[in-house]
Amino acid sequence: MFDFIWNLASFVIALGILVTVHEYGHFWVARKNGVKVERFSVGFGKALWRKTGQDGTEYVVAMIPLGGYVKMLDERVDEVSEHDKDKTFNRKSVYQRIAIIAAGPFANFAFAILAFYLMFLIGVPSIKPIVGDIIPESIAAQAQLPNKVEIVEVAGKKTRDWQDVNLALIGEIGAESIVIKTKNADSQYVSSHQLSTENWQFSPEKVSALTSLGVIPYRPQVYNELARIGKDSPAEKGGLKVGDKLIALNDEYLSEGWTDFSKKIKDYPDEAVNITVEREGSNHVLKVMPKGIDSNGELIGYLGVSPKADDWPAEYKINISYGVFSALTESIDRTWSLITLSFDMIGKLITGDVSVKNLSGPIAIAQGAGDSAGYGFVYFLGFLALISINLGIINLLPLPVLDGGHLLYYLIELLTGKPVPENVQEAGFKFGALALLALMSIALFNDFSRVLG
Amino acid sequence: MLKQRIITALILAPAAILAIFYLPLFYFAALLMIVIGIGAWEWGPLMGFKRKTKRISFVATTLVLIGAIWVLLSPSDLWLNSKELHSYAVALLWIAVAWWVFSAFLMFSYPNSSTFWSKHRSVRGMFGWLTLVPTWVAFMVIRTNDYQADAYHGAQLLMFLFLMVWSADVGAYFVGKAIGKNKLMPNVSPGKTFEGFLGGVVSACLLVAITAYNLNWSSEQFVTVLLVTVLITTVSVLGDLNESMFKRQAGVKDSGSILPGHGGVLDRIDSLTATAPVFALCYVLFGW
Repeated sequence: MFDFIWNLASFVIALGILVTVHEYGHFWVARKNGVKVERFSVGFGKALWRKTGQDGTEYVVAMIPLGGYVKMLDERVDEVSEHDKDKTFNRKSVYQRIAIIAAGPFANFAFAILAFYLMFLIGVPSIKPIVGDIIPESIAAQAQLPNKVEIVEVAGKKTRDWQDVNLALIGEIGAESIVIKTKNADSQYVSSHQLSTENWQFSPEKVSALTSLGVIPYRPQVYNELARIGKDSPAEKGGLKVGDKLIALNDEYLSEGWTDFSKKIKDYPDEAVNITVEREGSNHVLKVMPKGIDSNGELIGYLGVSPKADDWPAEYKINISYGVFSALTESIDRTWSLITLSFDMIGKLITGDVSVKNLSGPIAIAQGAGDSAGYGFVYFLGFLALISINLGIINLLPLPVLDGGHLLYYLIELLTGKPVPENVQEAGFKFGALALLALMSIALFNDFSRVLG
Repeated sequence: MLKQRIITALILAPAAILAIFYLPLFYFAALLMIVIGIGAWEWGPLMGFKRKTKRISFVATTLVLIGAIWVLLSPSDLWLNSKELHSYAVALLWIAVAWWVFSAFLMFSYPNSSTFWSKHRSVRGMFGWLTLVPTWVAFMVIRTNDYQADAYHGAQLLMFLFLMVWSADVGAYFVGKAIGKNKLMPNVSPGKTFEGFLGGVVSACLLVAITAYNLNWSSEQFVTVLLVTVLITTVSVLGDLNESMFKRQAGVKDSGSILPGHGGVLDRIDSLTATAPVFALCYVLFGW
């Protein structure tokens, strides 16, 4: 329940900011061009708060936070007095109209740059992309990619952390080969490996691009020794203590590490098990009853313990922060690469290289908002930037109803010298609304399936 | 089987009639949403969904779609006045009609055309939404017609639609059983005969004639309604066949088992999914 409220609150805040930014873009440029703005609304539907400014614009915060609008004076919709005729949107030149419409998405891009800028100034704690292991006979293994090396470049793009690596890899989906450059921790010598990716296929919702290539990131060693025990947890009630070493579960020996145990314990929801532990040199058998909890619609056993693990070695950690100027170029770079990546993805969605299963809707965004806000401010900034860019791009899609659709009409007007006929526009709007509805339905369906497991 | 079918019908029909006439608008809309939700649940296997979570997701999305329409296009604002329907609702009805024309094309070219949609689950899902969501809109459009002046006018219209579809069903069943010989569309549904189809049309027309006689309709009214009836009964077969086609492709016999003798809810409402939007649009365009 707390998760739900947290996600919802983060979602509303995130979307509220982004919608305001987008609409403010339209608003600002419209006013600069002398268009009278009648209403500036963040949110749709019933007004929760309203105030009329001295400029005659009504500012509204409305109930449904999934969007907003700027209502400009327009002769096609409103009765306009002779005095106000030159303040209408429809009387402005086609260039001015293009500027006003394009301002929304561009405000989103500008906001993304600002958010990234702040993020880079503050600095993002991250982990260097050091290869832990290579899966035998994988694409990476065939290219003889060694382990325990740091990945410094993928397909010509510098990579400082795993996110860089993943982003670069995703951008290469469909390429015939990918060049990965690596270097040893203690030397400056960089070696280059060519991965042949002709037959590279994977479903992004199940595995990451990395694992599908056969690269397993380095992780610190985890031991089957208890480091923390939750208060009032089933483990505490069963008498488990910090420092206990797990030996067997129902007389079945557990393998080293943690994965074996954590996997097996899930099979015993609300079912007593005998856990053999090594404590102060001798073995004890304890009867513990894992609590049955719901995990994605499945009942699993839960003990409430976490294992002892090595810390990340200091030399593997990196705080990616930048100076005042380099942060600016870096944030523009990041924004630009995300914009091109998104367009790339849309292209692949149309050609069928990427399945519609990968579309995400509001629920996924809400979860992302909640998670990133939970990790800390810099992560929330990064998330805001990402969604801002997406919002800008979706609005630029040449679907009538969206900004991109209007822009398309104005571009046609620019080329032919006369406006697109009203009835064609009208038909286009209906088709656009339908196409958008279909896309949103698929995205929403994907969200539901993901949440339900 | 027939006995069970009749018993269920005898319980279901009065329940439907009561709901149409006596449920307040809000509850009527909600009940309709539930029925369509069950229909969406049964559409799952037609898309090849085996896992419950996928089916629930499809139902949830369908309900969100209908809910969004409900919020944005409140039933009380559907009709601007007794004759003019909200332009969004008109657009939705046109979309539904376009879908049914397209679906007729799919049926005539079945199974050749199915290579396209049978491979893409998202396309079949889209078809499901096009079948189910406008049905809700159409029902609400019909039910709320002239609601301010006469709360039962829309109910009567809806009742009329139900009676047409039912009498066509009954007529088709018995005539088909008695003299049915020539298969209507053997590729899609081997059970339907051309004679049965005609029997359905004739029995619905008879119903209209009786109504017209009792209500003293003008001859002009009578002819309009008769033409609409022929159209509606034809379309009703279309709805039936549409579902059969998807079931056949998915290798499913009955779409569900909640209604003894009738299979699932989808089997019961399939004719209505096609006829309701067409009927609503006819009423908007021609009136009578």
